[in-house]
Amino acid sequence: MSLPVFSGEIIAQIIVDGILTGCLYALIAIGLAMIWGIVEIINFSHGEFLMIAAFLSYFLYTSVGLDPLISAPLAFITTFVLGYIIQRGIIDRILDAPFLSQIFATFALVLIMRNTMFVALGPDIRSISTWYSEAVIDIGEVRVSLVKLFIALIFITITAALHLFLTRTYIGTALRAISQDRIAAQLMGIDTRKIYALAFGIGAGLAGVGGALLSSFYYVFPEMGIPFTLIAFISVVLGGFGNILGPALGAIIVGLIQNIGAMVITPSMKDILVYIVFLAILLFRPTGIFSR
Amino acid sequence: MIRAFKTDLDMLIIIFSIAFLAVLPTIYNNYFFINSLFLASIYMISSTAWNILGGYTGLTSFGHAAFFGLGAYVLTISYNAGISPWLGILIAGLVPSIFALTISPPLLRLKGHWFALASIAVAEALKLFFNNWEYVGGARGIELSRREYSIYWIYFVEPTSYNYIALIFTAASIVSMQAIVRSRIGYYLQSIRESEETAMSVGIDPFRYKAIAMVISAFFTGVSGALYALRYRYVDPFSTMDLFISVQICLIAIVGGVYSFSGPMLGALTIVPIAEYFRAFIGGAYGARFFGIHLLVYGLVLLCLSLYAPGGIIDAIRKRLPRPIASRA
Amino acid sequence: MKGVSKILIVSLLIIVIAIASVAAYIYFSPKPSQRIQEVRVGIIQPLSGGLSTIGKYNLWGAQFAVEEINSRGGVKSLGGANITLVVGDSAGDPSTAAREAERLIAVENVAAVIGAYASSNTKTVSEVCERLSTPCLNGDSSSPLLTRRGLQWFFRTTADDDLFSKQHAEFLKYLNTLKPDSIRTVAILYEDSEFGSATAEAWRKYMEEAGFRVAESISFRSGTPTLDSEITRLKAANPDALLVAGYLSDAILIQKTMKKLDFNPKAVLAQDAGYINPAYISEVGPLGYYVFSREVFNWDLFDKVPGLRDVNARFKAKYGIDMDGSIVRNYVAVWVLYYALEEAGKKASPADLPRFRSVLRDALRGIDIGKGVLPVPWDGVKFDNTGQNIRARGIIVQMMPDTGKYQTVWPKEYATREPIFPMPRWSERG
Repeated sequence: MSLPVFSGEIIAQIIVDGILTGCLYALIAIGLAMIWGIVEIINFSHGEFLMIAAFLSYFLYTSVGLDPLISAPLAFITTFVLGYIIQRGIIDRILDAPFLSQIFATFALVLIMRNTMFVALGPDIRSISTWYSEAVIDIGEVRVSLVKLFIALIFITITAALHLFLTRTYIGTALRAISQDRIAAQLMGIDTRKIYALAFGIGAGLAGVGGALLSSFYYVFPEMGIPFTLIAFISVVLGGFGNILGPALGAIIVGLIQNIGAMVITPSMKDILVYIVFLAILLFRPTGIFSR
Repeated sequence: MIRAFKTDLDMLIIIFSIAFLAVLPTIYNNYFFINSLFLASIYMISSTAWNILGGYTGLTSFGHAAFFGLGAYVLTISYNAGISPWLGILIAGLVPSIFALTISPPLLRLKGHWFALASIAVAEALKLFFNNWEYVGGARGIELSRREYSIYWIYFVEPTSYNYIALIFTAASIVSMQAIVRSRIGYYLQSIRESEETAMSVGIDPFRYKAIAMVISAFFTGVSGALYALRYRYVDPFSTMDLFISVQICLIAIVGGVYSFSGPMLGALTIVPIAEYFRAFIGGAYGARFFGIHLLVYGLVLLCLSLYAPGGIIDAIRKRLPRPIASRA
Repeated sequence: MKGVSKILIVSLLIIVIAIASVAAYIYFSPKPSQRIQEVRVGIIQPLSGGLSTIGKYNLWGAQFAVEEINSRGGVKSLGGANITLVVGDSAGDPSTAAREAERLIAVENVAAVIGAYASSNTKTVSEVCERLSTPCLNGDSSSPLLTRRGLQWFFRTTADDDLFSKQHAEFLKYLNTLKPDSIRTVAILYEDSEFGSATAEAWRKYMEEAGFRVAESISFRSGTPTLDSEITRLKAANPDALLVAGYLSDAILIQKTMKKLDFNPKAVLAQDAGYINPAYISEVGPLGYYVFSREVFNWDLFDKVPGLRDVNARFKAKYGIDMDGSIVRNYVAVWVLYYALEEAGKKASPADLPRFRSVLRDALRGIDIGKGVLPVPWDGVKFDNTGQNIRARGIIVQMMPDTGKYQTVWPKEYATREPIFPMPRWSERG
């Protein structure tokens, strides 16, 4: 494997693109962190919410011409509701079950969600193309993908909104309280069941937003969820949970590693680098790089 | 926490399973069923092996496909190099064990969720690595060389003979694993699972025994991978090392019941044929119009099981039995 | 309350499993000896999992051929017996494909098995067929390895990737005759499974033999969400021509990324698969213009290939889309099998299955179909002693900006348009 010679432009290109990709991952990662941190369940079906929202976005665009970036709030609501229902109906019952039983149920959920879409919509891969899907703008010498830039901006907005929600509202504070100490929170009179459902709903909703945004430039098919679920888990571990910034930064780091890895080793091995870094963090700083 | 590991129920199930695997192919000469049983025996071995690490020691792994795939590849390579598969299967168990031993110092420092995630990363990394390694054919995989039809080369025309070979290894593996867990090792592993600190306080070195558990688990999972390779005669990274395989192994153990030795065996005997029949029966008839419908049904069944029988089938059975059988005095 | 309902559910589960077992026993019991009214033929395609998007169309192609044959009187040498197509789902996994093959052969009693698209699946299926002495006819797998294993029961109608890659080199040389000396270097971008890697290997060999320098060769995992780094690297290598092998989702992504990063080789030459999938063609739009691809068949060959227009019209009337290379190859595979069945039916009957399969195999070995009988741009069908159809050919098509569809540009005898070369830069397009 020969190392191509890289100009400063290409390096800047890689870094910028990595960060932007990471912003998309970050939305999904934050969602997962909420579920994992508050409800304390490893949710393998996270990526499936993303997939459902992506399909919703696709159909809204092809039938009424609603742009995915604009239909993202609709996606959020849909997956929020779906997540809430699933939490109350299913997850709730296994909250006190041993780890393995929880896995059991979430795997089953993955199969059900994914194959419902398969049966209903068939295996065809769809994609949509908006005016900005392949558009690029040049910032200095770096070519920036417009859609990713939009996504990054949306990500910043959502993160800011989420932060406000978590710190300034009662519910938000309740959420944080539970993630820190479940028993104490209960003692303070917080209805944990409702809060769990809320947390799960928000987490799923964020994944949904990610899916809607993704559909604007990626392709939509029933099996698209798994890679993003994995990346979300890796991001959360890298960045640590307990706050929003941790998983977000973790996700951005994953995006960067992928891009850098693709350039330095062969592109098909870029994920190996991600896994290695992941394992290293797990070993040396399991609470995450940015956790308190 | 459900605990009764040393039970005569286990013995009953072991004998029943082995008998089932031995006798049924002779009565019911249907290739499809026979193939399902073969697959069931492979998963029987690997899920039971998984459970030594999972149920007994409390370390949930989603990366067992790494051991499975390594076993499959090692068998294929040794077979093609001229080594008889009877020896090859043993080597196929050893290599994953050595691999497990090598990765255990860092890996075993993790627990619970962290260990689970790390196991995924290890397996996926290994898969990617094999996918890019020319020596093992990369993505193209390796085919088993064609030899004469014989017992020496474990190559037959009819599928039934494969089942008997698998039976030999299944019986040997199960008996060995049962012996191991009934010994002090099994006892130590369980005490580590309950509380590492307590175990340490009575002089049990948790790291040492966890490593032993992992090595044993890897060995037998490797053996099952080797059997797979012998039967289907073709290995590639995606069919032998994918997350899907790890999930299957783990799921079968959970469905059967992880808090007993023979739970995974029951899980294999029920889940594998059910999945196969769903695919052939439902998928074959309706799959061309409703893609994936058999998987949907399978998922629904699993969901119901997870909600109504979270301790697995074994647990459900045990609760209905009179006390003396369900747990040894 | 809880105890009762748990007992209920467990016993219900047990009852369901028992009933299912009995039903399955009955359903799966080997069928009694064949009535002459039907000949059973098995087909294995991926109907779940990632490759099902292609398996679906392949199955349509085969089903359409079967309907046609039956409506024209079935297998006449067997008294007008209808062909019954028995379907197996490989789910894209080699061991599942093998199990389905065994099921089709031993339980469903098919006379032959067609399948299975992905070369890794075809490997195991053909191995099972060999062991169980059943003809295996493959219409859509292009790995050269399949016919190099010394199998006696395996036949392949389509050309293999080796031959296709060789034709790619010939085509590039042809482009150089149109605009002398414009292509000197090539780069290869390939998905990293069996299909892509084998193609890349063949390309490296034939391109170098033809005198082109391979400037860069990059693999990626099919289904990856981003190819930015890969394309950036290719751009840095600055090849004259880009050779691409990928599946559906990859093809769309590659084109999008090339535009985004403004990568402008003089020609992009694809190896079938994703690039000729109907879903790709309808989704990709202007991003796919000017791209060349190897194909085995194309819609614009109507006037060049007898009978094609008619077949496609009827297919489209039923299924709503035009046939593509994958669909047509499965269609043709069934027809080839039919001709062999007619031959075999003169000497044996499916009632004696082992003998019938053997006779069928011999019929395939001796088959000799000339040019123009089947709606494909081949010279016909005749299998050599490795089971490979030596009269198979590929064509090169290019997606034209005025129609948004692929048109045949090479070989000249089938070409309906001149190739547009070099490809206009992204900035110069509308």
